[in-house]
Amino acid sequence: MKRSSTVQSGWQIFRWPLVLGIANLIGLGCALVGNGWLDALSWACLGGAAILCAVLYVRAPQ
Amino acid sequence: MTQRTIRNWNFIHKWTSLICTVFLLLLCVTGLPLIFHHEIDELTRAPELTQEVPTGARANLKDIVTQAKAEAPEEWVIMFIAWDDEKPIIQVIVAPNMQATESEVIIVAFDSRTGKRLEVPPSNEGVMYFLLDLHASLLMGLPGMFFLGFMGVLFMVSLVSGVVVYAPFMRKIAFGTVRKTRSTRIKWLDTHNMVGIVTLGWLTVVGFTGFIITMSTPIQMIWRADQMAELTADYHDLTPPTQLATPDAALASVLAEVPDAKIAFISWPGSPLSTPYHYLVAMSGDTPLTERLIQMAVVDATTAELTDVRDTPWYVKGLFLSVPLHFGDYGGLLLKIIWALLDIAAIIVLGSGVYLWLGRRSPSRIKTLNDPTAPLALEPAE
Repeated sequence: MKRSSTVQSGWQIFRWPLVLGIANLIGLGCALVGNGWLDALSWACLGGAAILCAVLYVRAPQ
Repeated sequence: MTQRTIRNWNFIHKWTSLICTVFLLLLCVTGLPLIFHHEIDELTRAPELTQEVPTGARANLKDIVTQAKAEAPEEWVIMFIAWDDEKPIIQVIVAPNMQATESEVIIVAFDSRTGKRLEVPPSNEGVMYFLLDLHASLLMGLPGMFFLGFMGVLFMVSLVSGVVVYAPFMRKIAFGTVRKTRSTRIKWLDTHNMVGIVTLGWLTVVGFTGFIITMSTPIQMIWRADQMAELTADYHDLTPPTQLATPDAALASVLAEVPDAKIAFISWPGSPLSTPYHYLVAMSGDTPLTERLIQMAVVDATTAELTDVRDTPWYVKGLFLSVPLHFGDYGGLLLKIIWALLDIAAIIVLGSGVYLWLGRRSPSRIKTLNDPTAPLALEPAE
């Protein structure tokens, strides 16, 4: 994730937050609807968000 | 967005966040052990249950209730009895009066198959109950709940304004960038933005459902006024019954109509969740979703005849569904662990937010803030 040289548009700024927001909501909702694979999808979506935070922080150049 | 608009949103984000942050930090810290409430209870206070019981055995509710009432002062009343959703346990809630709060009642547990009295530490005592009370109401009852509800509203405003001011910060840097090589301040600013935006959906839902839960008393009152008034319309001229049909007879009428019903609780006539003239039998479904969406069977308190089986209105459904979405107890232990990780992420967002505010108060920065001709004061120097 390096610094981009140009100014980003609204879409460029918000496309990843949008994807992650939808993933968060899927994660929150699907374990409520059923068990089994729906639980697993929920773990993937929400656990993914937690892991992504850690990865983005650790991967940044010191 | 003009500089002025950005500055206004920054102002909103700063102040809504600052006011609620201390309380949100308290909620996050007390919430962390509460995520594992069930597991901690299992380890520390699970009752011993007899294994050898014929299948289908069902304790006599009248006996249980009489036994529980004998453990309380004479004038105390039965408020409701509740079934554990996993174990064969019935809890009888005996209260000094029908308006009593959770901390005032006595909770007596029984084996739901044999009717044997179980020695369980009551669920309204101990460290976990203290944490829950602190988390839900700052130990101040209803006013405390409303206060936290207001903090929840501020938190929602702070999230929205945070997303708005996220855009100008990110104009020149790619998503997820954490600049560790510049100053500590920039590192924490980037961390605040990154963790905040990645967990935004979760933060919003947990914050909003928390707000809904703080409104449970008004929601319950609206429900009473709305539905219970309708149920009691035919009973206007009658005094509330003194000779009640047995809870067993009430339950039998419900099971005759809905044979495979899973009973969640029976609310006594005159209690906040019933009318003076009815037992209210709450039935839950068997999927994670319908388990929370309780249906109510209304039973005449004198004749034990089933009056009606009704769905709860949308706002009560909303309240019921807010509970799992707030506590994260609906997708196994792994979901709870993820909930705890996201709770820690929230602590990082809150903590870094405070750090950024404290760090900004040097005289030169205050000068910049007050100088309307200065470039966007709150943006880090590029």
